Amino acid sequence: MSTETLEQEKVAQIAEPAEPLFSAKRKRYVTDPLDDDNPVTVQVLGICSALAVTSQMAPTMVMAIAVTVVVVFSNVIISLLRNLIPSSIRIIAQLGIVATIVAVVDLVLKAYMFDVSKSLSVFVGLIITNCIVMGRLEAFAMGNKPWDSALDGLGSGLGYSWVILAIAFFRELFGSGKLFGFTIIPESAYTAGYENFGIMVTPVGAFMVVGIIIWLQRTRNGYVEEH
Amino acid sequence: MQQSKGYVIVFTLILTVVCGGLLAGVAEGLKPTIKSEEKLDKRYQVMSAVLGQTKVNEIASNEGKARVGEMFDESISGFVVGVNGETIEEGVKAAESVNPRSTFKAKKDKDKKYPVFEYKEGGKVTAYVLPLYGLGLWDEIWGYVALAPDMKTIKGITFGHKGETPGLGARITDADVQARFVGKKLYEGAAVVEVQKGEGSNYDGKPLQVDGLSGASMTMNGVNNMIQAYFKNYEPFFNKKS
Repeated sequence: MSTETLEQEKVAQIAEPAEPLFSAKRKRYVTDPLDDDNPVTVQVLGICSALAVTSQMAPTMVMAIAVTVVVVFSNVIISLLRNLIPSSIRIIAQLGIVATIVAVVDLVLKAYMFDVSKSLSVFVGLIITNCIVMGRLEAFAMGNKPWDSALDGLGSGLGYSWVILAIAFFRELFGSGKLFGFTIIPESAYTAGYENFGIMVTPVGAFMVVGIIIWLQRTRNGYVEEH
Repeated sequence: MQQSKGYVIVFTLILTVVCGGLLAGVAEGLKPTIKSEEKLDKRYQVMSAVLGQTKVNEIASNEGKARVGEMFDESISGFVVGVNGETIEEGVKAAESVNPRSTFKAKKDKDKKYPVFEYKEGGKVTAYVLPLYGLGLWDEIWGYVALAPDMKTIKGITFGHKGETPGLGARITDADVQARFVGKKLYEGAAVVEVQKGEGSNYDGKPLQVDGLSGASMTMNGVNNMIQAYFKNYEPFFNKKS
């Protein structure tokens, strides 16, 4: 479903050789996915992890960084190899490279951020199947130069990051009254009868928050689904 | 463009070797760090069972996580018992090196090893810590239970899990949930402590009943089965001791 829309997406023109490092077009590679072409809210990719890891801010932050790192590096590597990868096996070659990078990220987290890797558990491994990563490789990195691909990956990674961080903000605040593990809603509110929204800690809460974000964003941008 | 079959095969081979080599190199290079982190995590859990998660977390955030490992060195001794409650290996190193997962999966009696950690305060054993291992709703769950010297009263308990539902079953790692076990009896005759269905009931004065977690009955069944199974595993040892 989601890959079809990507395939239809127009691949940007190859940049002129003398183009400045941060030309207007290149800036758009980074800024477009933040809003008008957001991978989560507009392209509706990477929803699975957006629902699964966002119950607290801290692991969400790490997940956001991990996905951004993976999408930037895989974009650059695929872009460097784009003329060497045989078209008949390009998907499996992309998958192999993404899987290698993700496995390295997983090992680094285990070695230097053990507690975080414990709380993210299987979801780090699942970055491999995050449609944003494969989508950018197929739609962009296969046809563009490394620097453009790096910017494009950064844009998509940041676009994903702000959405999942926003979801986590509301889920942790309303679900457990905390942010980054620090209590925000005072004890006095609870004694006065305030209760945490139990639904916010479940993935259902994430669905509701992501729905509201999509609604607000589309209302603001006047985005309409094409038929 | 269409490449020749030979090109495709060579490309695949090179990609496989490069990716595989890179991965093997990173895994080998980080192995010592990961191993020591896992060891420290185990010690952390044992100390949390004895002193309570909140206190150990406090020590870790004030004095660093390594301090918890040192406390383990200072206060914990241990040994390993077999299926009949007999001591088969001495020393805390032996107890630490037992992997509860392997014991859980072991078919032969000789492969079943049950470590016992002793927590000493001023030269006297004030708590025994036993590991727990079982299956929750989605994946494995584990934990450590600290028993008072009477081998019955629960001084503390910790749980860990791999993939229980966040906010529901995953709450077994919360300090307030684990605190519900404190002061209960692990067993009384043949009956074993059991988490009840539903949440919010008062089980004071009922040493074998623990308040449950609403929305997490399946995980709690796993916890109950795990505790039941491990009570059975250690029963010969308890009988020998008392």
